[in-house]
Amino acid sequence: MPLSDNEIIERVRGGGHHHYAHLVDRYKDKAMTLAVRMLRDREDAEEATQDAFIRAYNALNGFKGTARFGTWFYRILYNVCLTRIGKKKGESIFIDYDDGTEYDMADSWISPDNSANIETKDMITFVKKIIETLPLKYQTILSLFYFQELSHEEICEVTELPLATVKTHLFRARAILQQKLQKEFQYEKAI
Amino acid sequence: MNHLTSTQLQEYADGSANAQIRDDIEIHLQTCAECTAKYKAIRQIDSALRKLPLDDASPDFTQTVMARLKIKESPSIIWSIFKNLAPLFGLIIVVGIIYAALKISGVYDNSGLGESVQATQSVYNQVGNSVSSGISTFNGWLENLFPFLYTKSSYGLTAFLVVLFIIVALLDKFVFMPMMKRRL
Repeated sequence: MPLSDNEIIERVRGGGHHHYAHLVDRYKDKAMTLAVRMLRDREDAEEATQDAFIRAYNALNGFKGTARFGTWFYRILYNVCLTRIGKKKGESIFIDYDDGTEYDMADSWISPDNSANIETKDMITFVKKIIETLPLKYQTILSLFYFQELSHEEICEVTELPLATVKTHLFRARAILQQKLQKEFQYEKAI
Repeated sequence: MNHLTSTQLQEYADGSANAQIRDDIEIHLQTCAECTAKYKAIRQIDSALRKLPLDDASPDFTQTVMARLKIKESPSIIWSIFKNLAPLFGLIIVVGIIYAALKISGVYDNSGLGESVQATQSVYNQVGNSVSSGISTFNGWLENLFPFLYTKSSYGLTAFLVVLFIIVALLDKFVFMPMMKRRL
């Protein structure tokens, strides 16, 4: 039975430093996915992910265990990526524009008939293509929710955004995805 | 009939709606085709997003991180024993070489060193005889178990075990451990 994150951390703290490799192996691909989404460059993402693992190791004694290791680590990675983006662009990527308005996409939903057709056209390929065109903040939130499998509350901890903003970002990201998917489908249908 | 909002449906799909709202949504979905269609579309996008592949890190990612942290790879038990016993092996070899050199050159026999240690040697001999009889018994057991090792002399066994130990330690260090590490 594989060791839990906390068991591995205890071993590392107890002097078994080489056990840290298990944590790196466990989280490296998910971490890379978040870094690639945020930095949009594989090489840069790999460096940022390595930096995050090194920072996490050096700060491991400060890990209280109240949150999951994953949440704590993704927060470090998220900040490493933000710093890199800031160095490139000289600005923060997140603007809190939650205006509290209901964002209903009633007209944009794909009808069940159409969605069945889209499925046959390999929806995953469509989604993968479309997701890369989304604004950075949406890609980041989508990644944290679907790839790092964090809850809304955990995403708040990682990004330090209010819960309402996280929900809005997530909702809008999927709404945009739906709209683009529908356009794509209609275009395909018209050809 | 008031239809469910997209936000409500997404929260329901995400599992973040509270129990009361979840129950209300479930009841509504049983009777409203329009909202059910919306919900199915949400689930479809959701399902596609969950199936997207991860961006894999490079194959040597973990080794690079561990190297940057200056943490050595997982030490193997056999290698650790071998490393810990290395000074003892070294000492035995050095003493053996010195003894052989003194014996061959005749210095040992002519220096009177042999006589001066004769008294001590008798004690050693007694201890040695006891140890040797123990080893002989053990050797006898081994000879019954592995007769092929005793075709020339019982020293073959010692040599065989030492060589085997070294081979296993080297295989463990350079073949098995890297293989295990790749599998982690």
